[in-house]
Amino acid sequence: MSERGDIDSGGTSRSHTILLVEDNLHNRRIFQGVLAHAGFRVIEAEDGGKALAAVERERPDLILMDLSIPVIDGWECARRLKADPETRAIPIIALTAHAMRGDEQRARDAGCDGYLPKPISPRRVVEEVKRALERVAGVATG
Amino acid sequence: MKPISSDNSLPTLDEAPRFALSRVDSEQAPRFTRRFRTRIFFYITALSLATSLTSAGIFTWRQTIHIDLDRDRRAKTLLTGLATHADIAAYAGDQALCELASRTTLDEEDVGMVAIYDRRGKEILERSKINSEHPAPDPQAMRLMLGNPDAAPIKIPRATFHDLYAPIVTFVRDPADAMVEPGIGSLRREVVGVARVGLLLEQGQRQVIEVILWGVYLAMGILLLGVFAAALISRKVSRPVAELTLGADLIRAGRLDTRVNIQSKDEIGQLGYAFNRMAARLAETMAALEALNRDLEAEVARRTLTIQRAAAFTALLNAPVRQRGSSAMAPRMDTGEWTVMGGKMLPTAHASGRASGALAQLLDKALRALMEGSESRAAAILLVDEESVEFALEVSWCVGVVAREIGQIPTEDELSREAAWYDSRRLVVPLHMGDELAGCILLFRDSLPPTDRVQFATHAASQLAIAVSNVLAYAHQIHLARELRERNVALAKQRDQLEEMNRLKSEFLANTSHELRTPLNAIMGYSELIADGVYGPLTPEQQDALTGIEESTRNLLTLIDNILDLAKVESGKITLHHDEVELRELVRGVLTEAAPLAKHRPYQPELDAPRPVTLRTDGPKVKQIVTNLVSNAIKFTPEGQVQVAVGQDAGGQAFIRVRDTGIGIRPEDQRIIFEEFRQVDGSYTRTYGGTGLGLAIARRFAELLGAELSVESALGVGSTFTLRLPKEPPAPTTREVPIIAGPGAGTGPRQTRRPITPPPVPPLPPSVRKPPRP
Repeated sequence: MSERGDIDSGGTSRSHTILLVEDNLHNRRIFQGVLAHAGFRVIEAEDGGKALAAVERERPDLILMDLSIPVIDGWECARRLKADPETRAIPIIALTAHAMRGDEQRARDAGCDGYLPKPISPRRVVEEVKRALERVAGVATG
Repeated sequence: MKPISSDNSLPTLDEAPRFALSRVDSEQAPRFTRRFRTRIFFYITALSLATSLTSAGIFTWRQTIHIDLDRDRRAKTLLTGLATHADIAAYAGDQALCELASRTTLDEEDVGMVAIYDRRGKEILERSKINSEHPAPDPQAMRLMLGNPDAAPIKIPRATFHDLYAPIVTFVRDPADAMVEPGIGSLRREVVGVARVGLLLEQGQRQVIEVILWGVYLAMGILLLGVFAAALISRKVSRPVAELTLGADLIRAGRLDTRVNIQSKDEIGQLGYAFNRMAARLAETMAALEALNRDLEAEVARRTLTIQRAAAFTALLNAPVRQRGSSAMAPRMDTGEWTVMGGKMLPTAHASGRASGALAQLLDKALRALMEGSESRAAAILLVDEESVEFALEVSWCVGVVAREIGQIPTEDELSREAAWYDSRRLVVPLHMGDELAGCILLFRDSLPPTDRVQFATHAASQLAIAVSNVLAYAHQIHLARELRERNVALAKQRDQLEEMNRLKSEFLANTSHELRTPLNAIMGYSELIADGVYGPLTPEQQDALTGIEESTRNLLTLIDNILDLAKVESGKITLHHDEVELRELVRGVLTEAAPLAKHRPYQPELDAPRPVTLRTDGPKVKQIVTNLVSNAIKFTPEGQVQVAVGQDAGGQAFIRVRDTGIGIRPEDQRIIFEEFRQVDGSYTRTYGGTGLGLAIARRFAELLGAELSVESALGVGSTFTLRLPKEPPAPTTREVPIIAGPGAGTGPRQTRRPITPPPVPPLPPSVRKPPRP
């Protein structure tokens, strides 16, 4: 539980809302758990349609995006969100089991700002999310 | 030709029979500009005009006479009446009586003047409607009248009237006789006066004008009728004539089938009939002439052809065969095709795949020429069927041959001799190619030919044999070339199939990778959360178990990565990306990542690299190789040391050496450790885990990079794996189709990304293949 203390003391994370798009129940529980544990407000969506609706409704600060998801796939979601001026600024981190050569490029081409191949340590996910948020904050303040 | 011929609409000479027109056209035809019909019309119209004028003239003349007569008669009547009425008045010389007597006369419309004179010629009464004119009585007329009681009335024409005089006579009794004998005999006729009447001409003139008008009407009416009749008659009369004229013109123009249609029974009908007869005769004569001409032409053509064929045959056999061998100009001949030749259905057999269009063409021409020269009625060439195991002759080409006769394959005896005629009607000419019998030529006749024909045929056939052998040799070449082309096509198709298979394979790989990683993520995630105490505090035993799970999961992930890598190599999916790579930094990274593996070892892998080594190679691949070697070393070295050295040998070749003090490998096993799924001893797997893929992948990657991977080892002492990298990355292999066609698929020297295809990989030995899972 030592990590939890670190996260709490980060101070910036409490108010941040993360949209977790993940169709696999277990993985969703894991990431939801660890992110919530780190003090984030986590919204979940298990397919692309719900993800886009959630973005519209909640305006999250960051999106963790599985790419192989039903209804509308993650690449398409990223493309749409990056094409919309309203949502363009929201960082999207691909969190995907597509870990072959070229997959990262495909994800970035679709508009993802980060790329985390599965399997991945939940701790690492929290770190990456924090880093991304700090980068955004740094850009905003700087 | 005079200009006139360009005017008429005759067909050109080409279209018309050539006999009929030449003479006719050379004469100058008179100009026939008038029309028969017009002339008839004109004549009848003129006739009717004359008739109408005549009849109108006669009518008028007659009517005018009638009018004069009528007037005279009337004048007489009027005069007589006046004279009769006025006798007493004249006798008495009483003017009043005279007036009374003359009133009725004067009342007549056409009476312009009435006068009565006494017996001495003295005027008793004169009444006139014509105020302007009071001509005095004509003295001569008066004298005539006064003396003669029987004088006829006299007419003296004047300008506007007829001046008429008549004596007034009365019976006067002679006074001497009066007493003697009363009666007629005593009465004497005596002129007692003169009656004069002026009969106006005005009315008569009106009548004449009227009559003339009627005459004009009459003339016009007759003329009209005449014109109408003229139109009708000219039409009726001229039609057959016109038809005859047209018919004659058509016949002149060469249309000998022209007939006129005139049905009448008169002379014109007779003329039409005669015309038709004449045309028919003309047509017959013409046809006969043409037939004669055609026969002559055919005869000439036949003789010309004979000469041409003889020349053509010589040329054919003298010309180089290859030039004729172009299949573009030759008709195609295929196996089993049927064609009509000489009106008979025959299989145009071929030379068992050797036949080309050139051969067929040569055979056809040559056989026809041979037939012509030897006056045969049929010819055939039989060639050896190369595909048949036994000696067999097959019909390759035939001209005008009945199928039954082709069936007479020459006997071996016949074929072994010189060319000769058999049965007085069959010439057999064996064809030799070199020493080998290649077939024969057959010529068919109905009787033995003259000697010179036989000589011609045998000589020509021997020449043909040479030509055929040339063409066959050439055809064989073409056949080989076609076979080569077909094989290339088949190969290209196979290549396409392989590419498709590769595509499917790589899709499968991607899916497998994805599907394996997803649950692995859950396993790793849950393990971590549990280990972090998210779900509550753990006992030390649970902690240990979790460590086991984590380790196993990592192994599983490595296994998956390895299997996928191997599969990628197998399917040629690996693409090399050469770049500047610094080996010391690379190995340092590997050791950092491998640190967790040595967590439970009493040592940490060491790096021995005095200076950086930079070269062009595919960094990630090298890293993968080194990672595999290092993890292998750690795995099989429970205690002791693992050391990685990076450097360059004396020749400048870069190397990475992984040395351990582990369990070592027996010399006889050092050969098989690089094979897939091989570990030296099955028990190792149980002891040390792992799939036995790491070294196999390392070897495959090393091969791709053009690197050399070697091992030195002693059992129980340790092992040393050395990777020697080439100074320059290997040139891409020249396989036709790159498995992955990247943007840098070309061979430009500045391209850094080159598609690399691995050398062919021998299939796994059956013993190590995994049994297929149901």
